[in-house]
Amino acid sequence: MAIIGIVEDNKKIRDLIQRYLDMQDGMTCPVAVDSVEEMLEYLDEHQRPDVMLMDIQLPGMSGIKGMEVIKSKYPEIEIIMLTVYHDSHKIFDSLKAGASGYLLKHTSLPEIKESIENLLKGGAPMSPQIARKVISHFNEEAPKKNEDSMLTNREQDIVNGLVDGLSYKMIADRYDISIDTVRAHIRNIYKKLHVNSKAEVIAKSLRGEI
Amino acid sequence: MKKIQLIIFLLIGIFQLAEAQRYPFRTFSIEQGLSESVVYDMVQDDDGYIWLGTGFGLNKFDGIRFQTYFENDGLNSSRIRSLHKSRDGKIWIGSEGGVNYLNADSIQSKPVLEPLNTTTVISIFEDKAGNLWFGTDGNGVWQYDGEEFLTQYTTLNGLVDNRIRAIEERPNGELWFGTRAGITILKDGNFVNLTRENGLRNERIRTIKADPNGGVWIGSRDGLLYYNLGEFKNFTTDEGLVNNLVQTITIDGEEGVWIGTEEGVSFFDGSGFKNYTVESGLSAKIIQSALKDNEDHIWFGTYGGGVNLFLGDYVANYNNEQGLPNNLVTSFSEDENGVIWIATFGGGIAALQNDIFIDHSLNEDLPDNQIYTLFRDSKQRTWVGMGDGLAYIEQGEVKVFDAETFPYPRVRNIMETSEGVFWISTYDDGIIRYNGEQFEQISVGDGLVSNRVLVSVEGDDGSIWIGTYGGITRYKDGEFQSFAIQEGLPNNAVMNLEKDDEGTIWASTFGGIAWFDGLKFQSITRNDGLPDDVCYFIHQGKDGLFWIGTTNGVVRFDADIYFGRKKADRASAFKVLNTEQGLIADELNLGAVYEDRSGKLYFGTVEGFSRFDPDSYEGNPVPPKVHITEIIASGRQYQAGKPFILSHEENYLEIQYAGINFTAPNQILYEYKLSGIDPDWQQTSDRLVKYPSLPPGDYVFKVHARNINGAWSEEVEEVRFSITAPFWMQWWFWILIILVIVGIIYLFYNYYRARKMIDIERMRVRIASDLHDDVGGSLTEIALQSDFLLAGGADPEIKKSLEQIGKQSRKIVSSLDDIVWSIDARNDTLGDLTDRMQDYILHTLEHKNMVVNYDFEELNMDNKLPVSVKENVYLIFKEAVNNIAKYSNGDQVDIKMENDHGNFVFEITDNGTSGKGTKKTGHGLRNMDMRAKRIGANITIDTENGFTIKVEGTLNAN
Repeated sequence: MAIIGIVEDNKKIRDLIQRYLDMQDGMTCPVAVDSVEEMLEYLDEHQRPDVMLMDIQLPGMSGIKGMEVIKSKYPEIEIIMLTVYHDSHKIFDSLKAGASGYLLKHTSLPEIKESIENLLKGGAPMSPQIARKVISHFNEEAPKKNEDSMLTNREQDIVNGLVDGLSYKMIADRYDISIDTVRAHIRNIYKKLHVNSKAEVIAKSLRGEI
Repeated sequence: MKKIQLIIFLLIGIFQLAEAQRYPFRTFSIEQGLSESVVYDMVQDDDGYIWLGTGFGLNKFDGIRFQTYFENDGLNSSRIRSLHKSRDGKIWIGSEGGVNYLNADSIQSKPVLEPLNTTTVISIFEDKAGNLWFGTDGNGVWQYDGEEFLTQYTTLNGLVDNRIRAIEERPNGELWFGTRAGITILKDGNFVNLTRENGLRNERIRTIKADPNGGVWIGSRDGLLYYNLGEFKNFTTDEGLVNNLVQTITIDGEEGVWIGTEEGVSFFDGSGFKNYTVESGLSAKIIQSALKDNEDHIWFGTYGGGVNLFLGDYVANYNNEQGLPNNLVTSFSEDENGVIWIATFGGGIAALQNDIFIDHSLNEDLPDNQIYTLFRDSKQRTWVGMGDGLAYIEQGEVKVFDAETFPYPRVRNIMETSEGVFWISTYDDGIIRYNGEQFEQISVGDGLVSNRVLVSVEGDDGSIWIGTYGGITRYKDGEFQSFAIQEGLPNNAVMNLEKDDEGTIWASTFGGIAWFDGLKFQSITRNDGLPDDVCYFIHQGKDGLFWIGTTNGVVRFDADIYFGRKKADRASAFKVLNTEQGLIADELNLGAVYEDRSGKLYFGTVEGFSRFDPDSYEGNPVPPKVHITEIIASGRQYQAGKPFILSHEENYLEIQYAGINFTAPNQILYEYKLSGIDPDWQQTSDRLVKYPSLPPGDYVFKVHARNINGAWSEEVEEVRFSITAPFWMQWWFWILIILVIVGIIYLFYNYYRARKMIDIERMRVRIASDLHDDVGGSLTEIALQSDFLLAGGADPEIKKSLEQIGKQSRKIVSSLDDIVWSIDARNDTLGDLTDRMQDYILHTLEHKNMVVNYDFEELNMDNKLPVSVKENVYLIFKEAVNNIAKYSNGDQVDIKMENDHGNFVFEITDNGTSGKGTKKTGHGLRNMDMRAKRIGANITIDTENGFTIKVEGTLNAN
């Protein structure tokens, strides 16, 4: 049973998503709060959710900042940004902060459910703009970063495919791999991106991990 | 009895008080700035300055100021013994330290003359050949050829003595050297000596002067000698010379010869000597040097008394030193013997005959020694107006009117009419008419303007003009008519009245003079050029000139010039005669003027009286030489000779100039003009003009001078200078300022434009967020709500409606998103546009299995796009993509965007065929057309090979 948490300041949307997800088989949504701070309190005392839907614009700590905090304390929680922002800068910033995916708010409830399931299966969404940003990000970082943070050839291929405007399916076809593999690669890319996020590096260094 | 007394006194007077009068010697000595009182030599330079060599210091004199030069200024020695001007204008200076010369006010020395430095040079002379001869005190005479040769001649060469006091050249070329032991003559290259053996009366020679007729004047320790044609003629005190120790000889043209001695000066006119001594005004007995200046005046340098400038014997002065009983002289009269009677206020009456004061003892019989006025009537009686009554003197007898018959004190004036009636002016009792029998008082009650009467005069028509402290009253045919300031008098205090030779009545007042034009008075005051307003008397001389006594000397007034009847500079109508010209004092007394039978004028002053001979007074026909003496700009000195440049901070300029004139240095009138500042010539008697804060520019300062006689200097002196503009007045500075201002305006403009743009952008962001959050949020809610209801399972009809609601809501959110995106200022770059296009393609065409090729290679993704371009291009793109999604049967889409030099091209093509020829007029196409027009872009729609839409426009087509 996947445990889902929601941080969303619009109560109606929050309640709707919570009730909908609760109704689904194999999902439970015990917590739906309107700020990162509340969520942090909850996480201290309760079982941690597997997946968290997180708005960006929130009262108090912003979603991106909140995600950094949560990820640093509970790196096992997968976080999907649930945003009204359609713009790639913000989305990319979220991904760099550790998001595993992003959903636009007007995504339909079944699609939300589907995305969560995809994520749990190891996938992640990535649009071509994000892909281009990924390339330029890694190109900039490349000279000074270690091998681990470089993209593998296959990951690079997938990103290029995305940049070329190919769908996941077309990428899967082009490289003769399954669509899930594409998703997994993308997920890895996100992870590498996450490693490269400055905030994460700082956080890690503070914890003495690096 | 009294007559005999008078004659005796007269004789005594001749012996006791010979040469009793004083002549106008103007003295300059240490008090006036001369460096020392022993003047050894004098010379006048070509600029007109007099140079005086003294026992200590060389002096340059301009008539007013001495400038001194000492060893510090370059002199070999400050003890100057001789001066000489050579024909090239240089002044040669002989001193106890040899020879220096002056060139343009700077003292120079010549190395070739250094052998003279150990000797005392007591005489210098330049001969016709241009040789300079230096006579020394014991070392013979030295010849200098003006170039490089200096030759010494002594007794060894044939000189009679080595002490050379005088050097002179005769017209025949003979050089005469005067020594302590005779004369040596250099003739045709040989020295010939002239001593007692040759008939020289005295061998100690002080001075030699050759006269143009061939004779030679020789001054010796035993009289004056004249040598001509081998014969000597001797002049000593026996012939009338003032003293036999002759020091100087000055030939005064054809007039005669001036001889300076150790007891004063003699003037020899060819027949006799006229002597001037300390008693006649010389400041010291011993004359050391003499000079005739270019104004024909003789200067005498003395031993211990500085220098005396003799102005001429046109004026003789008398005061109590000469025997005047009191110096306050109020009135004059003349008796049948030519004796001048002088009324004094406090000393009774004095009498002057042949320049000697005689005492007639009449004063004892007068009740008062305070005499106001004397009047000689038609019966040879002399009337005496006193502080204490009235008397007359007839045949040596004094007749006093007692207080009963004449109870009026302070008699100020007595006048007799043509009919023999006397009018007696009194100070506070009006005017008294006396017909020979009785006195009749006429006062204010009768029609007189004031009882304080000072003078009366009879008009040609028999009217009596009465001058009072309250104006003038005319009495005619029993009628009184008064004239005061309203009637044209410059002042109501009338001091004196005079009828001129045409019968016009003139008045002198405390405020100027006035004349009666038949109806009223016309005034002449300081504003009209009268040098002084306080006029104590007015008198017309026989030559028609008026003499006006003021507090500042006597003004000689030429009415013909003043009224333009004689052609001359109007300012020269007034000439002042004061102490500078030899008058005894500057302050004249009321009514104290008299013209004797010979035409000489007597002026009574507060310090004695002057007798003035207008016929021998020439004034000064020589125009002054004018020089610019000093230029100081903000403390720095500049030379007049060459133009100079001042900075704008040095614009305080003082220019000093001097008109060189020794006759009347204080009556020189200057006219100056600074181009650009003074519109006309400015007149002044000051020798200094100041110009504070002159603006930048080029200037020419000009000055010329006029002497007392109205003769203008021949040359106009000028100074040229410029004042540079400060940097803030230079053209380049203004251009700079304009540039800076333009720059500032431009910056402000840009700043405000930028701020406005920022404001707009902020507003756009805010609107975008509000729309997004509120409207978008609510719509999202609705969509999710419908999703939720759908998930709950429901009636198929309702389900359909719910699906519809959800779909519609999401569509609106999507449109809203486009709007928000285009408004949001954070999405203004080309990159944002292409990102969004790709997003949209992803959404719309992903499911269609179409290959989408992007050609964005050349784009600079950071280029900013105007909102309208961004929005309209995106919407055109969206419309096109929608068309493709809806209708295209192709499988490939090419999207191309180029951006170059502010222009852009956007092209989208699909390879489908279904749209061919069908969609040219569709709503979507019209929409695209309209949007392209909105941003001023061209749109071409091509349906030949697939479906192509091409938009071309400029980025700043806003």
